[in-house]
Amino acid sequence: MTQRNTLAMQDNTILYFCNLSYNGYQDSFLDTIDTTQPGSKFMMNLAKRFRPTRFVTRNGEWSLPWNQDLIPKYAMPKYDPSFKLSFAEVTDLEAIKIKNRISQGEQFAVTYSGGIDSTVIVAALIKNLSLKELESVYVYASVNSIIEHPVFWEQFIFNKFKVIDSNRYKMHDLIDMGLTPIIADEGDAIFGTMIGISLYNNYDVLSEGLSAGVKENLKQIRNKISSNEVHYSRYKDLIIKHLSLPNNTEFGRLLYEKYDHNIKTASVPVHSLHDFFWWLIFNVKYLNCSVRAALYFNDRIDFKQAVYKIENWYNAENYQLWSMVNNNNGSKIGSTVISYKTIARDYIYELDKNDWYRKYKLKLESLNFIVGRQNVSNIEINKRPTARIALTNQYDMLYVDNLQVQTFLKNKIENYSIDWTQ
Amino acid sequence: MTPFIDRVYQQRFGIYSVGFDRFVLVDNKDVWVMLETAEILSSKISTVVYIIPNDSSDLTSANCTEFSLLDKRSQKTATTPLLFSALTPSLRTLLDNSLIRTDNTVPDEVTEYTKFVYLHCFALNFTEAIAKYDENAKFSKKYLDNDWISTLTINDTRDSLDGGLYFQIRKILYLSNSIIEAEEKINSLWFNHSGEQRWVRDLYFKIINKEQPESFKDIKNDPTKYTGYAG
Repeated sequence: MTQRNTLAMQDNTILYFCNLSYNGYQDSFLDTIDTTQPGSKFMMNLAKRFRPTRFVTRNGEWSLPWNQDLIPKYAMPKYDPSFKLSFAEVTDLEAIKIKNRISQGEQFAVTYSGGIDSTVIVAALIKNLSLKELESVYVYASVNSIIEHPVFWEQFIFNKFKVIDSNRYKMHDLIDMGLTPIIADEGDAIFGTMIGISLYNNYDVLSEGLSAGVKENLKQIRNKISSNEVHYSRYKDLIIKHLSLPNNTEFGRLLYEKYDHNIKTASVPVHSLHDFFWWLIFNVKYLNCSVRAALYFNDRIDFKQAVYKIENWYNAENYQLWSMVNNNNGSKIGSTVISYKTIARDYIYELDKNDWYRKYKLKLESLNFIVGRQNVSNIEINKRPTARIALTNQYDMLYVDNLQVQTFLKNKIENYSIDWTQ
Repeated sequence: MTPFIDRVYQQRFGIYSVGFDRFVLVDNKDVWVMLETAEILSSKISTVVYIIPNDSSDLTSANCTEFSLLDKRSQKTATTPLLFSALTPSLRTLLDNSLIRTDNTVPDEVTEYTKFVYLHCFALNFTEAIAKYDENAKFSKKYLDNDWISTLTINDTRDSLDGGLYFQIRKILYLSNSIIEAEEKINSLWFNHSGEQRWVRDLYFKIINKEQPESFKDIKNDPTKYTGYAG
């Protein structure tokens, strides 16, 4: 992997992201950061509340301690309220693009977890490619992929696709094999985040302890999480409590207000509670998902090359445009958790006619099940994924053990001011 | 449920030693853990696990070594006169009034080792079921076609042990000659191979109700070992 041997951190160094994370390896550095100032305290609390924290805005204001830029590949398309393509049409179009690239000699490896997002991709390819063309598609999966959706594996993947073990081979291996990885990491961004799902699952518990008036209001709007009738601000107390750290609702309030400020300064409508959490991942947390494969599941390929080599299926412009105009119409979620990604379930059902999966499939944290146990002990400890703390806009990876990096980040974080609320 | 199932779970279960002609363990908690205990003990003694009718009201776990089978003719193997016993223990039912109280012929080392194994079998089963997050070895073997998984990595416990931690603990119990030997080996296993799965170790020791050795404070955890730790 090419990287400049001497990396000089300047005060005006621009980052594509910084990933402060209490992951067991960064902890000792993070604990040296002075949190007496509200800004630095906020950033450290963010690192405690979320893991990882590659939070970067694509639209609207979201200040950070350092100079921030956005990887061009992940820029948000301009909101187009007249966008009319259906999810199925968008999906089929993406599959046709792959078909065309296969005709040019390219081969692909689809990261398949058995979850809804990656099953859509495989279903789309099966639907739109010929048997001959499908020979150019590998399925990159683990035993957990089979466990998550064994019926689909048996009917559509086993003995029909060549399979590559995702626990054994990493992204750089796929690229070295001459394959273009296709990942589904932005699937949640298109539909809305697990942070929202976990609030819906704990709605009643979170409502406890709130004032009687607030509780009654929340009870009335419980089934309107994805409704144009109810603005997310009516759930404010619930959201704050959900975003808070234990015994620290002040952090929850600050974070809510930061998101609220971002929404108010963005050019995309965000209205309901589900919109709020959708926007969280579609905007600020988007990069968190997008860069994982290229920068954390890859140890050999130049980082910039990896970013642009890997095919982020749901990063396609059409998907993002679809996502922006399909809020609160039942496509993303109904009134229950089990209805999450309704439209994607319907797409899969067209192929497999599996009622159980369509009606009852639960959202799981699938990614960790398919790549979480990739062993990186062959890499120098201070270059392992847990040590990768930031990326500059020159695609230089910054490692937490580097003293210059530590000084840079410490200085930035400790001088960060809260600029979005009173 | 069904009459058979309802009846079974109203009764007790016991490990019967063919050689001593006595029960070595009786309890009503879990027939499957008891069966597994008998399997582990099979390296030392031949046993059968019985579902014991409730008419044996004076039979307790404390006095079970004084109880024998009244009429062993119903327990013989096929056409031979031998008492039923097999290479690997099986589960059988007893009729009412099948037991007789007599003297204790079971050495203490047998009953003590039996209870030790029984306790650890509970710990293994509970820990496996509660603490696992991304372990799929047992599940895969149970439900997935071998052809599906033959080229894929099976994830067992987070160590580099052949067969994984739980298998190795079972093996120790199976092959050790004494409680002291088994405990030393099990503790050594935890010390050397539980760095990335502290939660598993903590749960296991909680279940067996023992303090972890002081030396365990020196166990190193490598938070960088897997990609998944980076998120």
